[in-house]
Amino acid sequence: MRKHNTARTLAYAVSLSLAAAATNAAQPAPAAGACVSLETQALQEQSVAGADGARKVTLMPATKVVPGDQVVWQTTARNSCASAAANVVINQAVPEHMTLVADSVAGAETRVLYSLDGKSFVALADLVVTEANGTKRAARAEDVRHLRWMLNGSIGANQSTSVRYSARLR
Amino acid sequence: MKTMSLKRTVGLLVAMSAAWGSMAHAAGTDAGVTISNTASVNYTVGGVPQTQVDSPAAQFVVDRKIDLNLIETNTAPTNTTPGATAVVTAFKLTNTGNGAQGYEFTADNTGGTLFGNADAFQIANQVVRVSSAACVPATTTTPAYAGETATTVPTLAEDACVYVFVLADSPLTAANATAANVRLTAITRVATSLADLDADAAAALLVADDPNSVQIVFADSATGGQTARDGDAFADDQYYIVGPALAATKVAAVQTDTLQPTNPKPIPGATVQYTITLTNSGAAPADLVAIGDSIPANTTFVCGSMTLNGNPVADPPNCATTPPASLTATVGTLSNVGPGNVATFVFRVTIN
Repeated sequence: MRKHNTARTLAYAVSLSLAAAATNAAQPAPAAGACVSLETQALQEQSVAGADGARKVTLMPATKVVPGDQVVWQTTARNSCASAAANVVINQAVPEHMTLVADSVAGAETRVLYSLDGKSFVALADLVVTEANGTKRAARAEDVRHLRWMLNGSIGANQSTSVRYSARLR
Repeated sequence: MKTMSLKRTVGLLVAMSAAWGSMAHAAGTDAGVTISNTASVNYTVGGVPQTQVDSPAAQFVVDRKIDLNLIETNTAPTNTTPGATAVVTAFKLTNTGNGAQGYEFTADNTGGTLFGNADAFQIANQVVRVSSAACVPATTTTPAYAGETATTVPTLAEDACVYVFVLADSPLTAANATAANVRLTAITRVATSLADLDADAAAALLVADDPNSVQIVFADSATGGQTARDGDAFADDQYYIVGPALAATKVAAVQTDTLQPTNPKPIPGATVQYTITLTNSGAAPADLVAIGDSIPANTTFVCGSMTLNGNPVADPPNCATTPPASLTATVGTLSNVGPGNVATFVFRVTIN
């Protein structure tokens, strides 16, 4: 079971709780000498009836996804070394056929930067889109194609951290 | 500090810019498309930059979204007349899912109130015919029924639409200004084979969720009293009886008797004038209207006394020598709009 930071969960969405082992999660890359391994999962919010009959929204591995649905992409970095991993920067693209959901990018103790092209990363407020006719406008969430999380602190020995965002299937 | 993996990013960028324009399907990403995502991390340990680590790709396959939109095209009743056969109403079906589907249809009577008119009679012999005319999703020009015989849509591409007609008979007994509601139901089927989707969907619910296979998700909504997520959609239209409604009145007035010039009484030898007034208060003109009346017993028709709307009407043949037993005047078309919706037929008889 993944160790999870409660404050981080709350920061993302109060109603969400994390599901256990994801069947469609790619297994962490074998850490061939690397301290940090990285795992990305596609998750979906699903309404599940609890033992008391009350329904609650849970994040489950994304299985049935049709256009219009939202998928939560969650990336977890694990530090398996005895030393802290510092200056951690996680990069991820918004997949083709998907658009970023506004205000969905989360990660505790991180600074998030956005990019249209995967080269120039700036804060969302500073992101400018140049239209085909040459006019410029402030970028919207759906314009963002790449995300970067810069951890303020470090990942301690045998600790992990997660970042995530939601994207909607076109 | 090292930056992100440019190799992968650039590769994605090229694919993105090339595919962006063609991706604007309203119904969304095609079923079967694999969505894949990876992340990379850069970090330092003890101040020493480490080799970048990429996550394995996490992926899922876009499932088949079943959704459809069926509308009645003109949001108004289809006017018909009692006894009319194969009267056409039109519907428009749009595939709002993310893959090609086939469709089957049923048409039947339904109750309720539509366009402000309550369902009052039943149509009969209703059949469904699929239009062969081109259908453009954004336009609302409904084609006319052109004798098409197709009853199903074998394949309708995502975002594509098709016009569907219902042909039905109205009973002769249907009263003027009454309505019959008809419901067309479209049932989503497997494209080409028109096999039942429901079994597939039920099976998909039973098997373990599989992110790597295309599963079926019914996404149709519950608007307008429909059952959500069943792959079916219905739309209602209405047949409305627009017929003439004729009413006749007959008034007799004694005009003269042989004895007193004023206040004539109906005594033998007196002349009586009959005035028949025919009024069409219906919703449609009446065609081939003729007014007929028989000469009452013990009276004799006064030759040359017939008028229709003040115009003389020719006598029956040999009027003087063979007094007619009955009279007929041809009105023709009687409008349902005043003041021309009244025909006045006048003739005189003498009391024997």
